[in-house]
Amino acid sequence: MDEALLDVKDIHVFYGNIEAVKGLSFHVNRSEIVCLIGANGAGKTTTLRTVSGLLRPREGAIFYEEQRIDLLPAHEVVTLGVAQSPEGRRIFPRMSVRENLDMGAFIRRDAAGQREDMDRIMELFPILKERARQAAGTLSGGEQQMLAMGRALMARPRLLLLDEPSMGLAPLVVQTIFDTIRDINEQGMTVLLVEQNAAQALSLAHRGYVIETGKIVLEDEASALLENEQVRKAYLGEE
Amino acid sequence: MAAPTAVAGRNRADARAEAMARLRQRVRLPLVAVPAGGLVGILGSYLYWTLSPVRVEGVPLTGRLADYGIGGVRTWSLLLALAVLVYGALVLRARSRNATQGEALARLGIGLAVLPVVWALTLVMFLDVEVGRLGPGPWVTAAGGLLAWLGARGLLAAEPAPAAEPWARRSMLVDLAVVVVAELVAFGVFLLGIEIDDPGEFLGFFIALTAIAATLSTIGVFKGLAGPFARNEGVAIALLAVLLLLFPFTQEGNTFWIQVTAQAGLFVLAALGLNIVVGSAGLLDLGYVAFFGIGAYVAALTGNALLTNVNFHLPFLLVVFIVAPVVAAIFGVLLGAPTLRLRGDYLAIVTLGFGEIVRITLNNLDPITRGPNGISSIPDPVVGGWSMGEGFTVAGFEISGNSVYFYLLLALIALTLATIYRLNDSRIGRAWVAVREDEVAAAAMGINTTIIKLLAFGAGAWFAGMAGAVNAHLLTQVSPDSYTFPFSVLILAMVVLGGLGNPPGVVLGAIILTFLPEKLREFSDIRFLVFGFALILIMRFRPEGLLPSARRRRELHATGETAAAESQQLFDVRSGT
Repeated sequence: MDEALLDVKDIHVFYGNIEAVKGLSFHVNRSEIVCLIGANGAGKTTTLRTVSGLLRPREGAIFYEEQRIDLLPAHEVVTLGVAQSPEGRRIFPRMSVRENLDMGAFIRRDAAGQREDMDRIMELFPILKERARQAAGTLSGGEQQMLAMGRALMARPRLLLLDEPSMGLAPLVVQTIFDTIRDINEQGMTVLLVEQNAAQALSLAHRGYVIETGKIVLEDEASALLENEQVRKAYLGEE
Repeated sequence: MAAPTAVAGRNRADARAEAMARLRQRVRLPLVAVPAGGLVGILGSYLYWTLSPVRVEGVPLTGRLADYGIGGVRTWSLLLALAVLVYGALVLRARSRNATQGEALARLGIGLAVLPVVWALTLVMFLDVEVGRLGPGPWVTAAGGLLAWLGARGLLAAEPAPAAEPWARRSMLVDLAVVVVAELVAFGVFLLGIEIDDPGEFLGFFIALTAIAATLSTIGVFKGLAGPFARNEGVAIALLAVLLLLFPFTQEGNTFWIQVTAQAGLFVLAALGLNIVVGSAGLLDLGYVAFFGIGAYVAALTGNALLTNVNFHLPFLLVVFIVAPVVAAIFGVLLGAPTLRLRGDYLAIVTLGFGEIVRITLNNLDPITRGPNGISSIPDPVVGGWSMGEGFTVAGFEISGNSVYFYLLLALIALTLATIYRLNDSRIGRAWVAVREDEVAAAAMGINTTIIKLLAFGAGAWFAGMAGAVNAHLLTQVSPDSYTFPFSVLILAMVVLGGLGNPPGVVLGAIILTFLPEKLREFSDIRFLVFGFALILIMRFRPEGLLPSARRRRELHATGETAAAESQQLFDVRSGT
């Protein structure tokens, strides 16, 4: 536990009077990929938005590098080294691809480092280099997802939050994206992944949590979850 | 069995379409109609337009209307008809023709058809001229325009021309010449517009100008000009500055239009400020007049006014550059604070309320503001013992007090533009754009959206306060009913008409919307109808404004792909957990 980069302790999150997350605890260790899986409406995205500071838990606490972050606004959480590729990608459609990536580095002031990272990201996603001057809104869904991930990486984070990177994408594109996530992780990045696509997420992740109606119902090594009877029935569509 | 028949049917339809296309290639009839329309238009311009001179309060309305010669509104219909004839003939002679040329010709044709009709309608409806006193001229001219328009439509089926590009560099000299000529022409057109006193003729001038500008825009001349201007930015700005400095000397002692130009300058300042809030940060503010009013009252209370309850004198330059803007900006932030969680319609309503609160407060705070009487007899600003209203003399040239205001506003606008361009290139400017595009994503990038939105409100109010302070001295009085809701809407219209988010466009919008009502003054109240109609037309045919920012154009002329991507995003957000 002492090497946990992110430690979420019993958070309760409300939308008005509706409790979307009901006492949820999990942790992410350094250099691992952790995935949260669950059905639509289970509270996965809410959890991620709470970690990134866009929502505030009514109870519970979130620690990042031993520092409490659940009371900080989103923009300060980013400066601590937590960047996210939000659900629905949310790229800036009228900005060019390059401007989008620049926005990702908004909190940084090291011009040289930014240029270096920009080159690195364009190497990681060659299609972004090709489309650098194009309006981001004209990219395909998969390209937009790559841009959203690249933009998050431009903040040079130590923890990368990915919300449903496979949503609405063709299987082949999903494979490319997941391969890239593995590459990024092998270079030392810690990743917290939220996915509905349980099979692929679990085969990529080290550990996984299953969320149902705002609570964690299962947690285990990802490989073990893949073998788990309950998970196979509920999320992998097997009899 | 049904399928083969359908295929055969389609083949037959294809064959017929192909034959038609070939026929169209051979028969140039539609194209012949265009120059013919031009000729009819020229004939119409030389015919009588009215059977006897129309006089309004003893002033002949359209110059030598009853003459055979050319004068008044007919100058402009003749100009358009000549343009149709010449450009139509050029296109007709050209080997390869495209739909873009057709579109350009159609615009000229519509202009030629609309000009006499609008002129006739205006005379009949608003100036009580009987229809019987109109000559055949307008109707013949309109028929010529219609003919040209119908002919030009024959070209629309052709391929469109490739999108226009900024002109490449030929040589330094050519570039410079293009810049100089373009600016001189623009300045000349501006002076000409000022010179035309007759409202009927001005309508003709305005419609002809619009049609020609639309045509030039269609065939890509303005896009092309962007090339030389980008390469000679310094020269372009310097020449513009010189021309503007010389402007008061073109008015030969007549100060009216200098005063109107100064008023336009005030609107330019205010519109540039509002553009930060609405254009850059995307926050719709309908109570913007409040900051203008606050700036004006600050200047009135500190400007040695005769009729005032409070006089806490401060030097003018201090007020214009610091006190009024700072006070306005503080109120801007105060307004911003409670609206931070609001967007779109809700934000607009709250800001609207703020505008009213300020006006009503000014109306009721008698001990300080003298209520509905306002503060009046505000003297011209005095700087170092010299009163601006006296003007000054340089090398034998007398510069009137109005010109001094004009120069003061020029300086303020130059300063404001420089500031705004620096802001837009800064981190703050980028953050504004990000907030406008997607607030949640902006927060996720580490942008403090609270501070950034407050900064937008504050910066916008800053320039309004500055403009308001000068306004108080220029009009020599302030009162609450000068700062009402329609004023906010007018400034917003300037920003939107000119080109949301693009400072040069905003400047153009403010100038047009200041001069147009002044020029149409003879139509008294009806001018706002004309004005409103013009706005509707522009929003219908050019929703991105006259000089749009590149980003805005992308937004409103989104390709199918962009639109699909955006609706997908909306869907994603809605279906989110």
